[in-house]
Amino acid sequence: MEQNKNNDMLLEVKDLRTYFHMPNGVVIKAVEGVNFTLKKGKVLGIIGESGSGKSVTSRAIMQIVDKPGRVESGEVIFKGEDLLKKNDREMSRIRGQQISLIFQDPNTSFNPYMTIGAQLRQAYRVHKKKATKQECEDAVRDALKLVGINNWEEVCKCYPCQFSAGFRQRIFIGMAMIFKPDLLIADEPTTSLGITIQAEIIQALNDIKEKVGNSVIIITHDFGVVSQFADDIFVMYAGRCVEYAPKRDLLVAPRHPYTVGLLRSVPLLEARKTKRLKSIPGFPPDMANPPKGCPFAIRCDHAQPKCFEEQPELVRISDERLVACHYPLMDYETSQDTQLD
Amino acid sequence: MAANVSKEASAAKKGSNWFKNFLKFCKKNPAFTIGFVIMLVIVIIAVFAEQIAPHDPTLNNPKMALLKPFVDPEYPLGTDYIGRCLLSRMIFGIRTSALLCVTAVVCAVALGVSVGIISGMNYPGKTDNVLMRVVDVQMGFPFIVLVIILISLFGTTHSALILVLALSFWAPYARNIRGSVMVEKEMDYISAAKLMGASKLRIAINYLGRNVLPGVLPVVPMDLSAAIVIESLLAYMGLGVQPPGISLGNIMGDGKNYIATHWWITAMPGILIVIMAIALTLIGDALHKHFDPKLKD
Amino acid sequence: MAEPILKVDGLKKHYPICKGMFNKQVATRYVVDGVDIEVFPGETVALVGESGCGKTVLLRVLLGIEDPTEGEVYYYGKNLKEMSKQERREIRRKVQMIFQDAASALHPRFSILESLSEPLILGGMTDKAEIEKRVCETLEKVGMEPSYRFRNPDSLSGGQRQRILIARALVERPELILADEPISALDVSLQAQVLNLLMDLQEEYKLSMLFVAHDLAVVRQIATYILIMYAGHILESAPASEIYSNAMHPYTQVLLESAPSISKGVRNEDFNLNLKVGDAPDPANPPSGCVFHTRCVYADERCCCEVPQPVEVSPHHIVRCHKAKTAAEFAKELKKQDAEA
Repeated sequence: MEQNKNNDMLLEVKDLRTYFHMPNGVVIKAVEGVNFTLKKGKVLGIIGESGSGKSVTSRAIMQIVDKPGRVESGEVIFKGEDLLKKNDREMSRIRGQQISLIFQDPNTSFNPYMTIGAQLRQAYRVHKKKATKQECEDAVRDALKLVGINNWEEVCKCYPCQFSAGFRQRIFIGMAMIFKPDLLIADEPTTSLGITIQAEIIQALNDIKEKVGNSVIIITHDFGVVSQFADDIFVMYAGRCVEYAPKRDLLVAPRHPYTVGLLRSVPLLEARKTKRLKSIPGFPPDMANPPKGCPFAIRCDHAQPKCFEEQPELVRISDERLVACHYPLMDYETSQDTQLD
Repeated sequence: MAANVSKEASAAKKGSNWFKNFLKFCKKNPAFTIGFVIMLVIVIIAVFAEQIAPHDPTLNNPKMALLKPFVDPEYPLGTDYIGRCLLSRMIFGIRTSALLCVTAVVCAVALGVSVGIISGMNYPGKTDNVLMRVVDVQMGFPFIVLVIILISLFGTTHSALILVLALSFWAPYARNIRGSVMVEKEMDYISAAKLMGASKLRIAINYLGRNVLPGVLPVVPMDLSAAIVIESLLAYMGLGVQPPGISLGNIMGDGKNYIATHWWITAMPGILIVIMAIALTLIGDALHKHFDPKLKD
Repeated sequence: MAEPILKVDGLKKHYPICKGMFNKQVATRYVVDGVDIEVFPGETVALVGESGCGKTVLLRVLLGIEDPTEGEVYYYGKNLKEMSKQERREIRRKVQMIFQDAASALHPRFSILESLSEPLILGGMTDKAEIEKRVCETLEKVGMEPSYRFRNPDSLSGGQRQRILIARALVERPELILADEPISALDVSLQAQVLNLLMDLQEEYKLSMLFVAHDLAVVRQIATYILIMYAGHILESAPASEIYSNAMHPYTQVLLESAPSISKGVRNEDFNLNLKVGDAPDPANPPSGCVFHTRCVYADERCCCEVPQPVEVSPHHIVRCHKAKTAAEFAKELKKQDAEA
């Protein structure tokens, strides 16, 4: 049993810290101790607002944090090996082949002067230098078919600018999946797209996952996206994980006041038409100068004196749930709330 | 909080501590300070030339002709071939050169910026098209041909020289400014200004100008140094300031026949030009770093 | 019924595409192609459409930044084209706009005070003390400390900047506000804040509003009347409750279906996208007949060649679709199935 469990585990992140050392001496603690695990074939949604450190987390996993950022400490165990201990060469073998990343803006992720086909073939040759023309062609075809592009031959002959943003994002996902990596990290893959296109992209990601059986980390600020796609959800605030739970539990019975606040403030279609949405007051903290206690305390309705003094640890409150709060809302159900009916 | 507010308020209202800010800026940029001090000294010398110069710069003294520098304390930098005090000549030379070049660059900036803003605001359109073709012609026109044409038209008067220099510098400003105006004018705040009913002139000056100008300011000192060099070059060729007028270039020009045997007549003003160019470049560099948000820490 | 504050009649905005040395017009982009809108006092009309459907251009035309190719815009019953300078100035005071991108809508080198006093100065106010007083009052109204007036936009966060934009729109005490996706650039926890603020202000000042958004969830709380826009056309317009309960147009149904939904996530449901994969049509090359037929699952031959005429299916509920009945029935069927499940 124990053996089995270990085999299931694809990625384990332990106490990951990434700081940005600005030239003026300020240290911005973008990621301050993040822990999570991801099983094979599962989807983890990381949700957080801008500046919460969610993108930096994904970049730290891939080891592509830009200067002046640096991974300070922690472990990123991928298939039993710590990625942070690998050198550049070993990492570049893993990137693209075993872990790949999708960016937010499909307008800048392609070279505008190369055809789609050439770019996909190039992506394939990065790791398979000796691949024959036929192998390349097959890989490209499979990749595009995977994302539902059946007229792949025509698409390959076109330049990126000939397609809309949504279609480009689809192609980009195909390119990221060309080696059928075990882990796909999608950093806000739908943020710049229209809403129907967003739904299509999410569906495409879902289809791929079913066909290939890869794991996905989806990073977003949109509860709608994660709730439709993720198995587990991980809420980030001010560089920390504040709550980690299976999707259903998190949506139905959130424990952290921030999660509750977020869920209540999302404008939702099914919301009962109330007079006002409930909003979280105030603004997120300045990461160059984080508050002493719980970073959410100043915006929190339930804050007690202790919250301003002591940083809460991420503790296990049940089998699958973790919360970083001194006073988690143990009996809270969203269904009691006016927002969800 | 209240104290803070009033402090900010007074700062915003009076802008009185600009001097303090300037000192702070100097402290942060030692290179700028060096350049600035050098230029300050040179400007003071140019302004008080009569009081500072030890001799009349046009007074010839054949007995003392071709005196080496650093020998006679009477003539610290030596004398030229008819015995005029080189130091005094240089002091007056700075005045003429500086006057010409500053005027020319100011004209160039004014012309370039106005053309750039007008062109950018009218893009795409006929005005823009015409103006940009003019800029293209200007940029493609060989400098020396321009000089010959203008000088033969107007003679070697100061205004002709200013015109030559201004014309050789304005075009890049126009292009640069046009580019940034084209970006800025698509921004929502320009639309917002239009919505408020701001006139075109107000948008051009208060919105676009204020936002676009800092982008080209750093280039000004660099162009100034280039202008000084070009002015000397023209004078050296005999196309610049004519005697009895004195400019750095024509002092050098005076020495060109003696360059092999009596180097200092050419070298002294040459060194001064180099120093000024370096000082101005230092200033320009610092301004560039200051105004370009991407280069700011 | 009272006179509408804003009436738009058959508005079209076409842009020429010019090529070659002599800028010969080779094609036309039909960005807005026949739009009718009415905004009555105290109403909030929401204009919902995906990116690229022409809603921003429409707003620019309404505000007189650009001239319409065809059609009329009336404010208080007066044609915008025929207004005298004096009247235009009056309209400018009464009709204000809130921009989407707070980062670009504020002059980067103006202090907040300068930004906010600009409309007052241009409106003819000269007394500096009075202007400053008005600015401070307005800042307080949008929930900001008056001391912020000496700050520059750079030193403000996104949410604060959006508040400043709202303040700028309010400083002249307008009667109608045109809001171009005022919250879509904001973080989740701030969206609700700003939406609530808008609703509070609307109540206080008895404002009418034309609220542009890209999804139906956002305007759920605020809209009284909704227009659905697609590729430059209004496909369906109806009172808000009608749209949410009885959407007739297939596109509206797709929009509703693809809106973020937490309860669906809880129930582990997939999107039920009744939509052919594809993109919105190119405005330079619009489809014949109904603009939506290229993606519509109900489309038949008639949809391909005949432009659907507006049909008033119930009071103020106008649909442009040949297949509205089939679609509505299908939607009802789906809902029934949902209810049974």
